[in-house]
Amino acid sequence: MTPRDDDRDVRRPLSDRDADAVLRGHAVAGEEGLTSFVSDLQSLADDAAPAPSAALAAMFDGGLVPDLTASPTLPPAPRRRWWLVPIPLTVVLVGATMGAAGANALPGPAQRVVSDTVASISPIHLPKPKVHPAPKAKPSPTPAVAPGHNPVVVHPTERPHRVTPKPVNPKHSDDHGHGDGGSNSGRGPQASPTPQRDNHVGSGSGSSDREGHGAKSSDEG
Amino acid sequence: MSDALLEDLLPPAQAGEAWALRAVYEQLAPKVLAYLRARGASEPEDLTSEVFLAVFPKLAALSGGAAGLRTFTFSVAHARLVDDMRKRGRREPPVAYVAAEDPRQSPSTEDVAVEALQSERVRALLETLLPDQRDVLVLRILGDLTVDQVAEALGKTAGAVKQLQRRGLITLRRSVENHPDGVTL
Repeated sequence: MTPRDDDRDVRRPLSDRDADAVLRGHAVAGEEGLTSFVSDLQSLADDAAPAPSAALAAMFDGGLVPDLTASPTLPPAPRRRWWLVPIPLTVVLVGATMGAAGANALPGPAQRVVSDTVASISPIHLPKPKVHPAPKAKPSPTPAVAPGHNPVVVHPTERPHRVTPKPVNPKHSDDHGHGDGGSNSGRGPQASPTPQRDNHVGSGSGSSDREGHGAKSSDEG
Repeated sequence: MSDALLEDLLPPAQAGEAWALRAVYEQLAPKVLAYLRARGASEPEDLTSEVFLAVFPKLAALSGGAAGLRTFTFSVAHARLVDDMRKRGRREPPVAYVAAEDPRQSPSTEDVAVEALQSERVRALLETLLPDQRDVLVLRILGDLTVDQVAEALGKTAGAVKQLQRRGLITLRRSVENHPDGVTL
Protein backbone atom coordinates (compact mmCIF):
# COMPACT_ATOMS: atom_id res chain seq x y z
CA MET A 1 0.00 0.00 0.00
CA THR A 2 1.30 3.42 -0.90
CA PRO A 3 0.16 6.86 0.21
CA ARG A 4 -1.22 7.26 -3.29
CA ASP A 5 -3.38 4.17 -2.77
CA ASP A 6 -4.62 5.56 0.53
CA ASP A 7 -5.54 8.86 -1.12
CA ARG A 8 -7.44 7.02 -3.79
CA ASP A 9 -9.32 4.95 -1.20
CA VAL A 10 -10.26 8.08 0.74
CA ARG A 11 -11.57 9.69 -2.43
CA ARG A 12 -13.60 6.57 -3.24
CA PRO A 13 -15.13 5.37 -0.01
CA LEU A 14 -17.25 2.23 -0.13
CA SER A 15 -20.64 2.63 1.45
CA ASP A 16 -22.29 -0.21 3.34
CA ARG A 17 -25.05 -0.23 0.76
CA ASP A 18 -22.64 -0.62 -2.17
CA ALA A 19 -20.66 -3.23 -0.27
CA ASP A 20 -23.82 -5.21 0.35
CA ALA A 21 -24.85 -5.01 -3.28
CA VAL A 22 -21.42 -6.10 -4.51
CA LEU A 23 -21.36 -9.05 -2.13
CA ARG A 24 -24.75 -10.19 -3.41
CA GLY A 25 -23.40 -10.17 -6.95
CA HIS A 26 -25.28 -7.08 -8.10
CA ALA A 27 -23.67 -4.63 -10.50
CA VAL A 28 -22.54 -1.40 -8.88
CA ALA A 29 -21.34 1.53 -11.00
CA GLY A 30 -17.60 2.02 -10.70
CA GLU A 31 -17.07 -1.33 -8.96
CA GLU A 32 -16.78 -3.59 -11.98
CA GLY A 33 -13.57 -5.15 -10.70
CA LEU A 34 -15.18 -6.18 -7.43
CA THR A 35 -18.30 -7.44 -9.18
CA SER A 36 -16.15 -9.60 -11.44
CA PHE A 37 -14.30 -11.04 -8.44
CA VAL A 38 -17.54 -11.92 -6.66
CA SER A 39 -18.89 -13.56 -9.79
CA ASP A 40 -15.72 -15.65 -10.16
CA LEU A 41 -15.84 -16.69 -6.52
CA GLN A 42 -19.49 -17.70 -6.78
CA SER A 43 -18.72 -19.79 -9.84
CA LEU A 44 -16.44 -21.99 -7.71
CA ALA A 45 -19.57 -23.31 -6.02
CA ASP A 46 -21.42 -24.15 -9.22
CA ASP A 47 -20.27 -27.76 -9.28
CA ALA A 48 -22.10 -30.76 -7.98
CA ALA A 49 -21.68 -31.86 -4.40
CA PRO A 50 -18.59 -33.99 -3.74
CA ALA A 51 -19.00 -37.72 -3.15
CA PRO A 52 -19.91 -38.29 0.50
CA SER A 53 -17.64 -40.24 2.81
CA ALA A 54 -18.56 -43.82 3.73
CA ALA A 55 -20.11 -42.75 7.04
CA LEU A 56 -22.18 -40.04 5.37
CA ALA A 57 -23.23 -42.39 2.57
CA ALA A 58 -24.46 -44.84 5.20
CA MET A 59 -26.54 -42.04 6.72
CA PHE A 60 -28.03 -41.30 3.30
CA ASP A 61 -28.96 -44.97 2.91
CA GLY A 62 -30.40 -45.67 6.32
CA GLY A 63 -31.58 -42.29 7.46
CA LEU A 64 -31.06 -40.95 10.94
CA VAL A 65 -32.90 -41.40 14.20
CA PRO A 66 -33.63 -37.83 15.22
CA ASP A 67 -32.03 -36.86 18.49
CA LEU A 68 -34.01 -34.07 20.02
CA THR A 69 -31.59 -33.76 22.88
CA ALA A 70 -28.69 -32.82 20.63
CA SER A 71 -28.43 -29.07 20.84
CA PRO A 72 -27.21 -27.31 17.73
CA THR A 73 -24.93 -25.12 19.71
CA LEU A 74 -22.40 -23.28 17.71
CA PRO A 75 -18.85 -24.41 18.26
CA PRO A 76 -16.91 -22.13 20.57
CA ALA A 77 -15.58 -19.18 18.72
CA PRO A 78 -11.81 -19.26 18.36
CA ARG A 79 -11.40 -16.04 20.23
CA ARG A 80 -8.86 -15.43 22.93
CA ARG A 81 -9.34 -12.80 25.57
CA TRP A 82 -5.78 -11.97 26.51
CA TRP A 83 -6.89 -9.02 28.57
CA LEU A 84 -8.42 -11.45 31.09
CA VAL A 85 -5.06 -13.00 31.94
CA PRO A 86 -3.89 -10.43 34.58
CA ILE A 87 -7.19 -10.54 36.48
CA PRO A 88 -6.56 -13.75 38.50
CA LEU A 89 -3.07 -12.51 39.34
CA THR A 90 -4.45 -9.20 40.57
CA VAL A 91 -7.10 -10.96 42.67
CA VAL A 92 -4.46 -13.18 44.28
CA LEU A 93 -2.18 -10.21 45.02
CA VAL A 94 -4.97 -8.10 46.51
CA GLY A 95 -6.21 -11.07 48.54
CA ALA A 96 -2.77 -11.82 49.90
CA THR A 97 -2.18 -8.18 50.80
CA MET A 98 -5.55 -7.89 52.53
CA GLY A 99 -4.94 -11.13 54.40
CA ALA A 100 -1.53 -10.01 55.59
CA ALA A 101 -2.91 -6.62 56.56
CA GLY A 102 -5.75 -8.27 58.47
CA ALA A 103 -3.19 -10.24 60.45
CA ASN A 104 -1.17 -7.08 60.98
CA ALA A 105 1.74 -8.86 59.35
CA LEU A 106 2.80 -6.16 56.93
CA PRO A 107 5.73 -3.87 57.65
CA GLY A 108 4.68 -0.76 59.58
CA PRO A 109 4.48 1.78 56.74
CA ALA A 110 2.82 -0.69 54.38
CA GLN A 111 0.35 -1.72 57.06
CA ARG A 112 -0.54 1.90 57.65
CA VAL A 113 -1.01 2.62 53.93
CA VAL A 114 -3.15 -0.46 53.37
CA SER A 115 -5.19 0.17 56.51
CA ASP A 116 -5.84 3.80 55.57
CA THR A 117 -6.70 2.91 51.97
CA VAL A 118 -9.14 0.17 52.93
CA ALA A 119 -10.75 2.36 55.57
CA SER A 120 -11.23 5.16 53.05
CA ILE A 121 -12.97 3.03 50.41
CA SER A 122 -14.84 0.53 52.56
CA PRO A 123 -16.28 0.13 56.04
CA ILE A 124 -13.61 -2.44 56.87
CA HIS A 125 -11.09 -1.38 59.48
CA LEU A 126 -7.82 -3.19 59.38
CA PRO A 127 -5.44 -3.03 62.33
CA LYS A 128 -2.93 -0.26 62.27
CA PRO A 129 0.69 -0.91 63.02
CA LYS A 130 1.67 -0.89 66.68
CA VAL A 131 3.39 2.30 67.71
CA HIS A 132 6.50 1.55 69.76
CA PRO A 133 7.64 4.47 71.96
CA ALA A 134 11.12 5.60 71.26
CA PRO A 135 13.47 3.94 73.75
CA LYS A 136 14.66 6.26 76.45
CA ALA A 137 18.13 6.28 77.85
CA LYS A 138 18.84 2.61 77.99
CA PRO A 139 20.77 1.41 80.97
CA SER A 140 24.19 0.11 80.31
CA PRO A 141 24.16 -3.60 79.52
CA THR A 142 27.19 -4.15 81.66
CA PRO A 143 26.86 -4.27 85.40
CA ALA A 144 28.29 -1.45 87.35
CA VAL A 145 31.28 -3.15 88.73
CA ALA A 146 34.83 -2.21 89.02
CA PRO A 147 36.94 -2.58 85.89
CA GLY A 148 38.62 -5.91 85.64
CA HIS A 149 36.17 -7.51 88.01
CA ASN A 150 34.33 -10.43 86.53
CA PRO A 151 30.78 -10.55 87.86
CA VAL A 152 30.26 -14.16 86.80
CA VAL A 153 32.33 -16.71 88.49
CA VAL A 154 32.34 -20.10 86.92
CA HIS A 155 33.15 -23.05 89.00
CA PRO A 156 36.50 -24.44 87.94
CA THR A 157 35.05 -27.93 87.44
CA GLU A 158 32.27 -26.70 85.23
CA ARG A 159 32.43 -26.28 81.50
CA PRO A 160 31.95 -22.65 80.57
CA HIS A 161 28.32 -22.15 79.61
CA ARG A 162 27.01 -19.86 77.01
CA VAL A 163 25.42 -16.93 78.72
CA THR A 164 22.69 -14.74 77.36
CA PRO A 165 21.95 -11.28 78.67
CA LYS A 166 18.57 -11.06 80.34
CA PRO A 167 17.18 -8.09 82.17
CA VAL A 168 16.43 -8.65 85.78
CA ASN A 169 13.06 -7.51 86.90
CA PRO A 170 13.36 -6.31 90.45
CA LYS A 171 9.75 -7.24 91.18
CA HIS A 172 10.39 -10.85 90.29
CA SER A 173 13.85 -11.24 91.55
CA ASP A 174 12.75 -14.28 93.48
CA ASP A 175 12.01 -16.08 90.29
CA HIS A 176 15.62 -15.83 89.34
CA GLY A 177 16.80 -16.67 92.71
CA HIS A 178 15.41 -20.21 92.52
CA GLY A 179 14.19 -20.00 96.07
CA ASP A 180 17.48 -18.70 97.26
CA GLY A 181 15.94 -15.40 98.28
CA GLY A 182 18.57 -14.69 100.86
CA SER A 183 21.34 -14.72 98.34
CA ASN A 184 19.84 -11.84 96.35
CA SER A 185 18.45 -9.84 99.16
CA GLY A 186 21.65 -7.98 99.69
CA ARG A 187 21.96 -6.81 96.10
CA GLY A 188 18.78 -4.85 95.78
CA PRO A 189 17.08 -4.12 92.49
CA GLN A 190 19.33 -4.01 89.48
CA ALA A 191 18.45 -2.11 86.38
CA SER A 192 21.16 -3.58 84.28
CA PRO A 193 20.75 -6.97 82.69
CA THR A 194 22.84 -9.65 84.13
CA PRO A 195 24.00 -12.68 82.23
CA GLN A 196 22.05 -15.79 82.95
CA ARG A 197 23.15 -19.28 82.30
CA ASP A 198 21.59 -21.42 79.68
CA ASN A 199 20.03 -24.13 81.76
CA HIS A 200 19.74 -26.50 78.77
CA VAL A 201 23.36 -27.41 78.81
CA GLY A 202 24.54 -30.66 80.33
CA SER A 203 22.84 -32.98 82.77
CA GLY A 204 22.08 -31.71 86.18
CA SER A 205 21.87 -28.23 84.83
CA GLY A 206 19.43 -27.24 87.52
CA SER A 207 21.96 -27.79 90.21
CA SER A 208 24.73 -26.11 88.31
CA ASP A 209 22.43 -23.20 87.61
CA ARG A 210 21.68 -22.87 91.21
CA GLU A 211 25.31 -23.27 91.95
CA GLY A 212 26.16 -20.52 89.51
CA HIS A 213 23.82 -18.07 91.12
CA GLY A 214 24.98 -19.03 94.47
CA ALA A 215 28.57 -18.60 93.47
CA LYS A 216 27.85 -15.23 91.95
CA SER A 217 25.96 -14.12 94.99
CA SER A 218 28.57 -15.26 97.32
CA ASP A 219 31.19 -13.64 95.22
CA GLU A 220 29.35 -10.37 95.09
CA GLY A 221 28.51 -10.50 98.70
CA MET B 1 -29.01 -21.59 -3.24
CA SER B 2 -32.72 -21.60 -2.80
CA ASP B 3 -33.88 -20.95 0.72
CA ALA B 4 -37.42 -21.97 -0.30
CA LEU B 5 -36.18 -25.41 -1.30
CA LEU B 6 -34.20 -25.73 1.92
CA GLU B 7 -37.25 -24.68 3.92
CA ASP B 8 -39.19 -27.51 2.29
CA LEU B 9 -36.43 -30.02 2.90
CA LEU B 10 -35.81 -29.12 6.50
CA PRO B 11 -38.78 -30.80 8.26
CA PRO B 12 -38.21 -34.26 6.70
CA ALA B 13 -34.47 -33.86 7.23
CA GLN B 14 -35.10 -33.04 10.87
CA ALA B 15 -37.18 -36.22 11.08
CA GLY B 16 -34.13 -38.15 9.83
CA GLU B 17 -35.48 -39.03 6.38
CA ALA B 18 -32.60 -40.33 4.31
CA TRP B 19 -33.72 -38.76 1.03
CA ALA B 20 -34.09 -35.33 2.67
CA LEU B 21 -30.66 -35.53 4.26
CA ARG B 22 -29.16 -36.32 0.89
CA ALA B 23 -31.06 -33.44 -0.74
CA VAL B 24 -29.87 -30.98 1.94
CA TYR B 25 -26.33 -32.21 1.38
CA GLU B 26 -26.60 -31.69 -2.37
CA GLN B 27 -27.88 -28.17 -1.79
CA LEU B 28 -25.28 -27.03 0.70
CA ALA B 29 -22.19 -29.17 0.09
CA PRO B 30 -20.95 -27.35 -3.06
CA LYS B 31 -20.92 -24.06 -1.16
CA VAL B 32 -19.20 -25.59 1.82
CA LEU B 33 -16.63 -27.25 -0.42
CA ALA B 34 -15.96 -23.97 -2.25
CA TYR B 35 -15.55 -22.19 1.09
CA LEU B 36 -13.08 -24.78 2.36
CA ARG B 37 -11.15 -24.70 -0.92
CA ALA B 38 -11.03 -20.91 -1.02
CA ARG B 39 -9.71 -20.90 2.53
CA GLY B 40 -7.00 -23.45 1.74
CA ALA B 41 -8.19 -26.60 3.56
CA SER B 42 -5.86 -29.53 3.06
CA GLU B 43 -8.55 -32.13 2.25
CA PRO B 44 -11.65 -30.09 1.41
CA GLU B 45 -13.77 -33.04 0.20
CA ASP B 46 -13.15 -35.09 3.37
CA LEU B 47 -13.70 -32.02 5.51
CA THR B 48 -17.02 -31.35 3.76
CA SER B 49 -18.26 -34.82 4.73
CA GLU B 50 -17.09 -34.26 8.30
CA VAL B 51 -19.04 -31.01 8.46
CA PHE B 52 -22.31 -32.70 7.51
CA LEU B 53 -21.64 -35.66 9.80
CA ALA B 54 -21.52 -33.10 12.60
CA VAL B 55 -24.53 -31.09 11.39
CA PHE B 56 -27.08 -33.81 10.64
CA PRO B 57 -27.35 -35.35 14.12
CA LYS B 58 -28.21 -31.90 15.48
CA LEU B 59 -30.78 -31.02 12.84
CA ALA B 60 -33.74 -32.13 14.95
CA ALA B 61 -33.19 -29.41 17.54
CA LEU B 62 -32.26 -26.71 15.02
CA SER B 63 -34.34 -23.56 14.84
CA GLY B 64 -34.29 -20.62 12.48
CA GLY B 65 -35.33 -22.39 9.32
CA ALA B 66 -33.13 -22.42 6.23
CA ALA B 67 -31.14 -19.38 7.34
CA GLY B 68 -30.44 -21.04 10.69
CA LEU B 69 -29.33 -24.20 8.90
CA ARG B 70 -26.93 -22.28 6.64
CA THR B 71 -25.49 -20.31 9.54
CA PHE B 72 -24.99 -23.43 11.63
CA THR B 73 -23.48 -25.39 8.73
CA PHE B 74 -20.93 -22.68 7.92
CA SER B 75 -20.06 -22.13 11.56
CA VAL B 76 -19.25 -25.85 11.81
CA ALA B 77 -17.29 -25.60 8.55
CA HIS B 78 -15.31 -22.66 9.91
CA ALA B 79 -14.56 -24.48 13.17
CA ARG B 80 -13.39 -27.59 11.25
CA LEU B 81 -11.24 -25.41 9.02
CA VAL B 82 -9.58 -23.78 12.02
CA ASP B 83 -8.94 -27.23 13.53
CA ASP B 84 -7.49 -28.40 10.21
CA MET B 85 -5.14 -25.44 10.06
CA ARG B 86 -4.06 -25.89 13.66
CA LYS B 87 -3.32 -29.53 13.01
CA ARG B 88 -1.06 -28.55 10.19
CA GLY B 89 0.59 -26.00 12.41
CA ARG B 90 0.07 -23.02 10.22
CA ARG B 91 -2.63 -20.45 9.99
CA GLU B 92 -2.70 -19.72 6.30
CA PRO B 93 -1.30 -22.52 4.17
CA PRO B 94 -0.71 -21.60 0.57
CA VAL B 95 -2.23 -24.31 -1.58
CA ALA B 96 -0.88 -24.51 -5.07
CA TYR B 97 -3.59 -25.17 -7.58
CA VAL B 98 -2.96 -28.15 -9.87
CA ALA B 99 -5.62 -28.38 -12.58
CA ALA B 100 -4.90 -32.04 -13.27
CA GLU B 101 -5.70 -32.91 -9.63
CA ASP B 102 -8.91 -30.93 -9.56
CA PRO B 103 -11.79 -33.42 -9.27
CA ARG B 104 -14.15 -30.89 -10.83
CA GLN B 105 -12.80 -31.58 -14.32
CA SER B 106 -15.26 -31.27 -17.15
CA PRO B 107 -14.94 -33.12 -20.43
CA SER B 108 -13.96 -29.96 -22.25
CA THR B 109 -10.28 -29.05 -22.05
CA GLU B 110 -11.18 -25.46 -22.73
CA ASP B 111 -13.61 -25.41 -19.81
CA VAL B 112 -10.97 -26.88 -17.53
CA ALA B 113 -8.49 -24.23 -18.57
CA VAL B 114 -10.95 -21.38 -18.06
CA GLU B 115 -12.06 -22.72 -14.72
CA ALA B 116 -8.51 -23.21 -13.57
CA LEU B 117 -7.66 -19.67 -14.58
CA GLN B 118 -10.67 -18.28 -12.74
CA SER B 119 -9.94 -20.32 -9.67
CA GLU B 120 -6.29 -19.28 -9.65
CA ARG B 121 -7.19 -15.62 -10.03
CA VAL B 122 -9.75 -15.78 -7.25
CA ARG B 123 -7.36 -17.57 -4.95
CA ALA B 124 -4.58 -15.08 -5.69
CA LEU B 125 -6.88 -12.15 -4.96
CA LEU B 126 -8.01 -13.76 -1.70
CA GLU B 127 -4.39 -14.17 -0.68
CA THR B 128 -4.02 -10.38 -0.65
CA LEU B 129 -6.50 -10.18 2.24
CA LEU B 130 -5.98 -10.67 5.94
CA PRO B 131 -7.33 -14.00 7.23
CA ASP B 132 -10.27 -12.40 9.05
CA GLN B 133 -11.20 -10.32 6.01
CA ARG B 134 -11.04 -13.47 3.87
CA ASP B 135 -13.33 -15.34 6.28
CA VAL B 136 -15.91 -12.59 6.24
CA LEU B 137 -15.99 -12.07 2.48
CA VAL B 138 -16.02 -15.77 1.59
CA LEU B 139 -18.80 -16.51 4.07
CA ARG B 140 -20.83 -13.60 2.81
CA ILE B 141 -20.39 -14.53 -0.86
CA LEU B 142 -20.35 -18.33 -0.80
CA GLY B 143 -22.38 -18.93 2.32
CA ASP B 144 -24.85 -16.21 1.36
CA LEU B 145 -24.86 -15.18 5.01
CA THR B 146 -25.88 -11.77 6.31
CA VAL B 147 -23.57 -9.64 8.45
CA ASP B 148 -25.28 -10.87 11.61
CA GLN B 149 -25.07 -14.50 10.53
CA VAL B 150 -21.36 -14.15 9.71
CA ALA B 151 -20.84 -12.54 13.10
CA GLU B 152 -22.57 -15.50 14.75
CA ALA B 153 -20.57 -18.03 12.74
CA LEU B 154 -17.22 -16.38 13.49
CA GLY B 155 -17.93 -15.34 17.06
CA LYS B 156 -17.47 -11.64 16.31
CA THR B 157 -19.65 -8.58 16.63
CA ALA B 158 -21.66 -7.31 13.69
CA GLY B 159 -19.67 -4.07 13.80
CA ALA B 160 -16.38 -5.92 13.55
CA VAL B 161 -17.70 -7.95 10.62
CA LYS B 162 -18.80 -4.78 8.81
CA GLN B 163 -15.40 -3.23 9.33
CA LEU B 164 -13.58 -6.33 8.10
CA GLN B 165 -15.89 -6.53 5.11
CA ARG B 166 -15.35 -2.90 4.12
CA ARG B 167 -11.58 -3.04 4.49
CA GLY B 168 -11.42 -6.35 2.65
CA LEU B 169 -13.39 -5.00 -0.28
CA ILE B 170 -11.24 -1.87 -0.46
CA THR B 171 -8.10 -4.03 -0.48
CA LEU B 172 -9.62 -6.23 -3.18
CA ARG B 173 -10.59 -3.22 -5.27
CA ARG B 174 -7.05 -1.90 -5.08
CA SER B 175 -5.61 -5.31 -6.04
CA VAL B 176 -7.98 -5.66 -9.00
CA GLU B 177 -7.21 -2.16 -10.26
CA ASN B 178 -3.46 -2.56 -9.85
CA HIS B 179 -3.51 -5.98 -11.53
CA PRO B 180 -6.41 -6.06 -13.98
CA ASP B 181 -5.24 -9.37 -15.45
CA GLY B 182 -5.06 -11.02 -12.08
CA VAL B 183 -2.70 -11.08 -9.12
CA THR B 184 0.21 -13.44 -9.12
CA LEU B 185 1.59 -14.69 -5.86
